Amino acid sequence: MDFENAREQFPALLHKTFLDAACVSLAPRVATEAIQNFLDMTLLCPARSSTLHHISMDEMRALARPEAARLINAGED
Amino acid sequence: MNGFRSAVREVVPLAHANGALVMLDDYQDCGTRPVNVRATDVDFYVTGTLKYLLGPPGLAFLYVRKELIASLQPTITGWFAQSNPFAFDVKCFDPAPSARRFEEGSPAVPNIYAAMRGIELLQQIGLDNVAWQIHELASALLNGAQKLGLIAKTPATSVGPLVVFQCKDAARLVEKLAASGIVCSSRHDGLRISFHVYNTLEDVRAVLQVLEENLDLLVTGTATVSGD
Repeated sequence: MDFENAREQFPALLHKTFLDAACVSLAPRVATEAIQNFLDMTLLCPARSSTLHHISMDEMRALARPEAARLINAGED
Repeated sequence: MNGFRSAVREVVPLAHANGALVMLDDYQDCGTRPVNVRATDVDFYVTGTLKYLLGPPGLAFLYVRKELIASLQPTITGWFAQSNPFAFDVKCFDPAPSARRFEEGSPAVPNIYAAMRGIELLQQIGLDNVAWQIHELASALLNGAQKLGLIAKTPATSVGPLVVFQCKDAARLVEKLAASGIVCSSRHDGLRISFHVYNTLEDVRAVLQVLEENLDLLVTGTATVSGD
């Protein structure tokens, strides 16, 4: 992905010059869409039971660990 | 407070030579350049997603050097720290042998969903590219500010994504910038301007123009400013 495509992820940049990531960065569209997807899941409980629903939610937690490890060049465990 | 990037690679061997462990709090830098905790040789590393990782608040990461994990017992814990979380045994504290022993209860899952996308975006761009872009922008700002005679609180030898200028009235200057559609912040007498991969040289030109129009709010000259 190039810089110009990356900028499209941040609609606030159409209206302002944002130079304050040191305080709180802008989040990209894909991040807010991901939260919305999660919230939709909580509305519907698509699994057969709440326990399975819980496990399904926790899968994202498990996926985050290797992604974070890769970010800092650490081992996963 | 001034954008200084600590000399981690120099600090770590000094600390280890004197029997100390090293924890690096990288919250104000992670996401702006490649990180390699193994190469830096730190013992612990923490960061969060709110700033340069393009995520929401409420999510942080902890790295612990593998050889240290078994020797450390958490004082705050939860069911995800157990060797088998699904044992549901409240009378037996059996921490996982891996770094999972430092987890607690159910995390803020929505934040994870969002944070993953932010991190993935940075990985798609490439952290080397992110670092290059930030360096170009910070350098352009500092060059332009020098021509205006501004005093940078950020040490010239250690510039990262955050550049801080000394002001007579930093809060007022932030208001002036906001009136021009530019979002910055102030801390004490410092105007904080921070870059990320979504910024451009046009952003630098825009902020420099407002600074030039408001030199009365800034400290100018050749005075030496100590870092804090």
